[in-house]
Amino acid sequence: MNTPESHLYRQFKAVFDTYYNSLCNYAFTFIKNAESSEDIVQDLFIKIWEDRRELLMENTIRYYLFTAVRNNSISWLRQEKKFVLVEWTEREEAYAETADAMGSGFRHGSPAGSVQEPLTVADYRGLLEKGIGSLPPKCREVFELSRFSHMTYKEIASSMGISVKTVENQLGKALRILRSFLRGNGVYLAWALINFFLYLVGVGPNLVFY
Amino acid sequence: MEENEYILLILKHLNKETSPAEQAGLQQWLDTDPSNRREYQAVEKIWHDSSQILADRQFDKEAAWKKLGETLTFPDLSQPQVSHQPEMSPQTWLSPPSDHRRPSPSDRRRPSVLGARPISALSGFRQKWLAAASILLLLGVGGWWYYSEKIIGSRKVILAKDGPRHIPLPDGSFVDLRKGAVLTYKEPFNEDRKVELKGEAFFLLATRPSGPFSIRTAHAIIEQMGTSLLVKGLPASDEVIVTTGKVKFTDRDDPTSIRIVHAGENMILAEERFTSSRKKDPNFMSWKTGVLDFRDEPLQSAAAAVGDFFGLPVFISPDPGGEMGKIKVNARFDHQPLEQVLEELRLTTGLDIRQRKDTLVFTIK
Repeated sequence: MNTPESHLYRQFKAVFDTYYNSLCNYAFTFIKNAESSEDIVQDLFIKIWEDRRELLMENTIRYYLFTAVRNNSISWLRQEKKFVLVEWTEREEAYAETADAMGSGFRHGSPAGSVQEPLTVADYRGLLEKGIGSLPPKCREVFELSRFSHMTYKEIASSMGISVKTVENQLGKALRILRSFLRGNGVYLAWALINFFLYLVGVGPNLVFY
Repeated sequence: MEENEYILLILKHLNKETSPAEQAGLQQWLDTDPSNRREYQAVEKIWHDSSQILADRQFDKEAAWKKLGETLTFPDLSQPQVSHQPEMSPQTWLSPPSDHRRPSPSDRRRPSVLGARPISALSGFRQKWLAAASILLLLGVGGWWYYSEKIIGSRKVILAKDGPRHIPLPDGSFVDLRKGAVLTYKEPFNEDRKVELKGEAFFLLATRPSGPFSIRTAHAIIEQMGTSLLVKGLPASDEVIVTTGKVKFTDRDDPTSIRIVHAGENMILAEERFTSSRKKDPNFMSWKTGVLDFRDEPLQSAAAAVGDFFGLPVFISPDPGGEMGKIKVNARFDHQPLEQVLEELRLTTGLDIRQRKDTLVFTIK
């Protein structure tokens, strides 16, 4: 048998290496501050090594890590009074449905009400990033947790205190919105490419480059 | 199939959550039309690309790991691993105190002695400890998050890594941490004056009208009613020795279970039971003072105190004649290295005393 201590240490290092970046990025989605995000993750790893080493040997560690980062991030925001936890309301559900129905038109407004510049980025990654940014808050939260942690529906449900069905529906909703978002912008891109082509052949109006 | 329907199905597939029937349904849908396959690829691409895009920000993992190393004590893997197999047959190892006599509280707070058991019993002990920890975990999850909510992002963690540390606290109190002990508190150190302790520490507490100082360990909450005390927050038990003033000692698992401990008294909380010893251990603060003082001390407890002081397990060889039980130790050691202490003990007791690997072995010549 290995000495448990050195075995635990290696496991601790492996868990740290695997999850550190994802956890910081996940905390960042709440905190929007890199340094504080790192503090939260640092505190979590201290806590694990000091008090909860038994967790390192369990396959629920992923669930534990992401749930703790989520809870601690929300606590941090509450403490900083920068955030009011978004409640899961019917109004929001209805809103999400409407936004969904808007399809490609969705890109012109952001659900958070923040100012969003018109889309000119002819870049798939950039588009997808904007698409994720424009998901309804709760839908986005479920989607982000899933994409960062790769947890099962059941784990996500338990972590966020919602039902498995809700997780599934929200993920489906996120994908539908993103799909139509990209499709809509695909049309936009095609249009931009045609314009560019017309410019190249010298037909386009007012397209003097210098 | 509706868009909503197939997206949910694709998602389930990507999450490996499909039933055989659903898997077959998905396959059928994919085979129906090439455009379905393209749709599948588009959704799959979004799914995978999102992970990358979201985790785009790069944090300095190396720096973070280094910082962890400064706060935590990691096992030294550069050293060859010490075998846990004792040189003698397991039967000759010191039996648990309960086999011989009633455990005195001074035995109970000497983990180095309790740890010196047959290897099988030791691993059994470890297992029990782990089991206890996971039960605590189940009960304690809510509590931990509640607590961390208050301290997250701004807590100060102090570890006495290489030896005892003397730490002045912002409120004017002082803490002496024994090697390996960890003290955590929220910064700025607010009016609550709450600290968390793992391991052993001596507190000299400032009196403040704003409220009592409180120390939280794995099992207990100790609140100031007086001025100075020693706290040992060990995995299996907590002990408080009050030198001046008095404190309130509360079992965290049962907040109605409270003891008031006065100056000159000690109190141990183990397995949710409080016990107190009448006899005062003169060497309870040796780690802080650097002095070990034995006056007519029975060999067993003197050996335990030496082991505790140097952080080494103690093994007392079988003594059929009961001769060792009669030996009393009279000696005083002041900041002396282990070899000198052992040499003097050899001379005064006539025993064969040596260090074998990391264990102190006492044998009749």
